Amino acid sequence: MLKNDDIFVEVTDKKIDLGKLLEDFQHHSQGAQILFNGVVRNTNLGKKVHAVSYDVFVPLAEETFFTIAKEALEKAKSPLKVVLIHRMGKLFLGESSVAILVGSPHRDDAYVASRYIIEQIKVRSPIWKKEHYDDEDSQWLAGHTLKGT
Amino acid sequence: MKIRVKFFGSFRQYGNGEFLEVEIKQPMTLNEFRLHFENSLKKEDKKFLESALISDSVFANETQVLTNDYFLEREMTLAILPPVCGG
Repeated sequence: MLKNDDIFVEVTDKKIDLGKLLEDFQHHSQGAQILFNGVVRNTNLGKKVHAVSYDVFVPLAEETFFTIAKEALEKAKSPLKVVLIHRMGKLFLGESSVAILVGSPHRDDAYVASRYIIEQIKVRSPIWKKEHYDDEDSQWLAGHTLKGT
Repeated sequence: MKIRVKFFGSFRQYGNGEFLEVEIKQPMTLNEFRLHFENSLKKEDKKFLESALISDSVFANETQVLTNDYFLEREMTLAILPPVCGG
C-alpha cells in the first residue's frame, strides 16, 4: 500500500468493498465522486469465461499506480483525491478486479481523471490475466509490451 | 554469479513456475543477459520455444523497469515482465 494526503493505492487479495470505499474516502470538499468498478465478465473473444486469475508484481504495481495517480492529479484543473485498489488471485464472475475512486469539487475533472487512470493501468501496470474457460484450457491473455516505457 | 529471475504471467508455465537462477561468469548488461536467460530457460524446460516472448518482455526490480544498458555486476533478483494486461 502507498499513500499520501491525496492518493491511496493498494494491491489486495481480499474482496473490494465498494460501499466501504465510498464511505471511507469521502471528503467534504468533493462535489463529485466517480467510481470505476472493473468486474469479471462471462465472455471474452467468443469464449465462455468462469473465472480470471490476476498475477501481479505487487511492489512495482503499487509504485506504478502511485505514479499514474500523481499524473492524474497534476493534469487536473482542481484538487483531486484518488483511490486505486486492484485485486490479485483468482476472481469469479461479477467480482471487482479494480476499483478507482476519484473525488473532486466538480465532475468534469473526476470523469477525465478516472478515464486516464484506467487507461494507463492497462498499458503500464505489471499485471497479467489468465482466463479460465468452461470448455477449454485456461490461457494467459496477450497484452501490451513494456518495452520503451 | 547468480541472477535470480522471478516469473510472471505466461512465464509461469515454464520451469518451476516461480523463478529461474541464471549463472553468469562475468558482469554484463541486461541486453547481453537476455540471451543467457533464454538459453538457460530452454535448458531448464524443453517446452520453452517462445523467443519472441523474451524479446517482448522487460526486466525490472521492485521500483522500476530496467533499461537494456543496466549493468549486472553483483548477485541480485530481477523480475521478467511479459506484455501486460491489468485492469
